[in-house]
Amino acid sequence: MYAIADCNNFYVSCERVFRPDLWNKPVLVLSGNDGCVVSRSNEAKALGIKMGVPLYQIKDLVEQHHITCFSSNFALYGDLSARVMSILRSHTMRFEQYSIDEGFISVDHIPPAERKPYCEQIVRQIYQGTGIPISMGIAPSKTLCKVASKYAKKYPGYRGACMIDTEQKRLTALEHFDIADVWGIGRSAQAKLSAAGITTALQFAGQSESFARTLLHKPGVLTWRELNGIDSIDITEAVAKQSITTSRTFAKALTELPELEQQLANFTDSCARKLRMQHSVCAEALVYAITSPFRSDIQQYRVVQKVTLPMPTSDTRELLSNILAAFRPLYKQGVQFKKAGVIFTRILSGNAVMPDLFDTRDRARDSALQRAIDNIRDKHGRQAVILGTQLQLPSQAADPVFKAEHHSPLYTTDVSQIISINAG
Amino acid sequence: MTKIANLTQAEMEGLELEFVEAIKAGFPSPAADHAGERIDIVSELSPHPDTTFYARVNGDSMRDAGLFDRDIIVIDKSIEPHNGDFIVAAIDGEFTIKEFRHDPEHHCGWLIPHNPEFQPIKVTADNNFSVWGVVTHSIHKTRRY
Repeated sequence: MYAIADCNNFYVSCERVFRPDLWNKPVLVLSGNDGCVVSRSNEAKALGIKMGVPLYQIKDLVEQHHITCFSSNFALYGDLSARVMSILRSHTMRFEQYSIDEGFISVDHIPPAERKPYCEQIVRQIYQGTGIPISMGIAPSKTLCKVASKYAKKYPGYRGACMIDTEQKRLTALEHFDIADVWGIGRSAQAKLSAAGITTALQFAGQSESFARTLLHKPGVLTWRELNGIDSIDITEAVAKQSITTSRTFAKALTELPELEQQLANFTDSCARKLRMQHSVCAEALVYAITSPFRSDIQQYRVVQKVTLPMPTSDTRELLSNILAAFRPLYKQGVQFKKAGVIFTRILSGNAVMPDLFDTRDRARDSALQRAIDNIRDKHGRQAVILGTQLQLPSQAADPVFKAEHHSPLYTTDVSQIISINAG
Repeated sequence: MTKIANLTQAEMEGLELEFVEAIKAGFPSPAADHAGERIDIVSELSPHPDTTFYARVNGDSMRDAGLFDRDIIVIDKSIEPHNGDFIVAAIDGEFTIKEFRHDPEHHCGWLIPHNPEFQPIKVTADNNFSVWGVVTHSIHKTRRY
């Protein structure tokens, strides 16, 4: 049996640890570069604010309800994440971190009847010790753990930990679970399942294995098995398999090459940062830019170009120069690009890379530079050091919405920014 | 016969000498068998690093207990607060540092300042109150410069 520990609204929860004035208030955390919502407090969710929505689209709502917005403060989130994960690790050697706010532990060493109270105690311990609220899901497979943790999050009656340990509980849990919310079911899989009339997790789990294989191939079979209680997913592999993507729909379509290059540089920067955080490298990427499909009055055009890196890398400059070199020849003047993005499609573990005899780059030097840049940015914010391509162009008027003006202090990583406690 | 010759400056250029650790010369250090770890004050101050946070005192209400304005306090969130502990409390949306006293007779708690110029704060069920962490140490800079 596994248990997942999943931090509730993680980035928002991190910001709130040091702001008692914001407990029970609507709070949002925005992505660093493009001002999209990346984390919402329950109060903000209740106001109908959706994940990923750009700030400019909800400006009125934010003002009307006095919603507090923060720019991403990754130094803070990284430190609090490390604390949560360290406490989890202290419970068992069999621990695997899945993302910045999720980790799995094995609960095989705990007698079955004590597993739920044990996890409830971990929930209390982590909340008391770090201020971060978490939910736990206990089940025989990791996908079922995720399902259970969603129930734990939704219903306070579970006291933070929900366990799927009987066939009856599994069937009931899956019956009321939207297939789109199942771990590993992406948008295209969901579309295929929906076309086949499948909308709940139980309907999918109730199909034959060969149905899952025909419709969704190997990843679908893994999810199908996991939903049926068969432990099938290796986390270390699953983490390495993920693709990383950053894209944006522009409020006003872009036509000039420097504007597009600036955006692609921001996207690459953001993807590369995530890549380095998980100690991976990218071997292949996809760059795209498209016109609005809803405009029949303009010339439709799309660029979708695969980029193969000469050497797998996580270096922002190297990734960007390859991505721009692939994009430039396909750029067409006069085209109104409405959306663009960068996807790292082939991600490898950082230490699995063979050095190439004909490699001309000084990699030790590159990675030392990259580390130095990352350190400066952790300390002084993401705008402290940027690539020339990311510089704001003279034609662009400063848009106050997109400034990282809501950055909270580095409460735990810079002694000059620790909280000040009133003794008055 | 082995010859020993001085190297010229030109010969020395680009010549890198490696430092070899294992060469022994003179007497072995009598302290080698008694090597200890140098005192690490941080680990003394925070036995639970995962749940330890630092904060700066802003004000004089705890002055007589030795917590001065601008001192750095060490807060361990994992400790259960006991009667008489100094705590960081969140009360009605604000942090404050005080001594915590439980008053079962009057069904309330008290946040007690250590400075006659300040009044104790009564904590009842009507307050939005929680203990954020227990203060375990304060770090006071004694030098003025």
